[in-house]
Amino acid sequence: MTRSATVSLLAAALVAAAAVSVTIGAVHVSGSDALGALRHGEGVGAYVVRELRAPRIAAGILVGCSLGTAGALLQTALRNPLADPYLMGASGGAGLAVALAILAGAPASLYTLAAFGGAIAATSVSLAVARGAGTSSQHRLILVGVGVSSLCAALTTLAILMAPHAGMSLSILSWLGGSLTGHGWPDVRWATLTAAAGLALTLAVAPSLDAMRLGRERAAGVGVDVMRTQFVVVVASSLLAAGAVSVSGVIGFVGLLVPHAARRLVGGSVPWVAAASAPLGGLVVVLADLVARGAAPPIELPVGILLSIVGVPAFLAIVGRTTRIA
Amino acid sequence: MICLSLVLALRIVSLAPALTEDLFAIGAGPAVVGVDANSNRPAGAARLPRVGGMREVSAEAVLALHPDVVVGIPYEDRILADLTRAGVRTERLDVSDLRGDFAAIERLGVLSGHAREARALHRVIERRLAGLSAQAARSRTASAFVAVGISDLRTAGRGTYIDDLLRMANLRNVAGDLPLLWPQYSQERLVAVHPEILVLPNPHPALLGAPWERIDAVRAGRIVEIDEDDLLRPGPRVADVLEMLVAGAARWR
Repeated sequence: MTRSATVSLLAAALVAAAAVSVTIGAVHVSGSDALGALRHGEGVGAYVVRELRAPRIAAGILVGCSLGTAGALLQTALRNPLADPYLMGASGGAGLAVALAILAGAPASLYTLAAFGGAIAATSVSLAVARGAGTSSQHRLILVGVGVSSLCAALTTLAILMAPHAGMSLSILSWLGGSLTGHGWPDVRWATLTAAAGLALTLAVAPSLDAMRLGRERAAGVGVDVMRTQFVVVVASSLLAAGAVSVSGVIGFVGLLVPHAARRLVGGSVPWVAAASAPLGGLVVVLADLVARGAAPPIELPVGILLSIVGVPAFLAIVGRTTRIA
Repeated sequence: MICLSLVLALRIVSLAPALTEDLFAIGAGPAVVGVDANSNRPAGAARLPRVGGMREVSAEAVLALHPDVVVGIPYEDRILADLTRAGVRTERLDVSDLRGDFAAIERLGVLSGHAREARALHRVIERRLAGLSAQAARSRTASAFVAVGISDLRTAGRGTYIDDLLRMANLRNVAGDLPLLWPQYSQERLVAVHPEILVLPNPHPALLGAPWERIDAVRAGRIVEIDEDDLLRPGPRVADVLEMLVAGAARWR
């Protein structure tokens, strides 16, 4: 199969999965009613589909596409198969900011904004430290990112322990678990904007990024500004990760694993891997969320944990393979 | 004489707020030498040394208090096992439902040498619950949803003391048939079943946007708010919680 056919097929599968998802949920709405309710209709069923189910599916698509694309770009730019979109502290910063918002008694509708602000702040600190140190290699970026993430995680744990009310601690833990529930259209619109900004940035550096597969020296030899390219990719992927984390909490492993699967489907060319990672990531998250809310209704399973149960064995397989190569 | 009493005095560390309150309620407060971070009641407990909380209990901090017995809940199995290995006597008490709550009170009575007070407390609580339950049975049954967590719709399922209390308050727990203790509930289903009464811990974040805008109980203000240190904690004050539920619900039936 050609690469463009593969990407088209993935995109079609994503659309189909989303359409099926709209008709399945804890409240029974018939298939035709559900699709009709997207446009108009009164009553409980229409409200459920339009205001609860549809934005949730849209958020799933957005999160999956963002994390898949961001992971594909970062793994190439940093030449590290274990790089994931949260590498520079996006999830750590988001978690800490949401924890602080919960401690301050902010309404739940503000958590999205807090998460986004925290993700951007933590990423900016990572970048500033890595760049301020002079020659910023990919290793330095990774180490600083890991450091900032750990600091944020430690402070978040402190917030959980010091919370004056047990309910606040539970809310923070629940948010960290990752879930697509509780996000309406305003959140989705906001995350779409940031994802669009991130994608626009990546388009600008995609050709240089492809050249970097040859290695830093050879890429520099054909006129690629390696440092600048890496920096732009880290900024772009962090924007994508910040948008994602703000509507879903921490959904692990999608950004790490989807690019590897995409690479097997379409080969190593960066623009193609990124193009395939987007629909594949969306598909994985939409299907996982369908299981989360459809497996035992009206109980919701935590989608972040579901993805990790599938993701961890795959992660271990990648780690094993990497070690053998080394 | 002082030395003798120091040797004989029992030293208890409590790792759960409900158990701490039980111990003080049966007169074993003076024996409690350390508590978890969330044990804020009664005032005597709040002044005791803290040994951590929420699965982050420090075994070292517990051991430094030289306890004769450490009491905790199933959620803390890991730290209790560590302490057992360190040679400390531990007692694991499941207070998920009312039956477990009463059994814990009696067991703590035996452990602390206040068995008679514990039995008396158990009888007083049961009598109050029965009286309130009889009072609630005179009005009609209403449906209720308890939002333990607002943003994630965490609720109280079958086998929780909250489910028990709702039944006594003649309220039908919307999540009462779910087999998990504290499940996360579907937003969709909550909108569809439109519970008549919403029970919330206080404080809680504002109820804005979906799905709250669509829930009749929110629009009509049929909300019973109960201090979270009361609602989210079994222990000796479950009859107070039932009283608040019955009084709150009586406004709309």
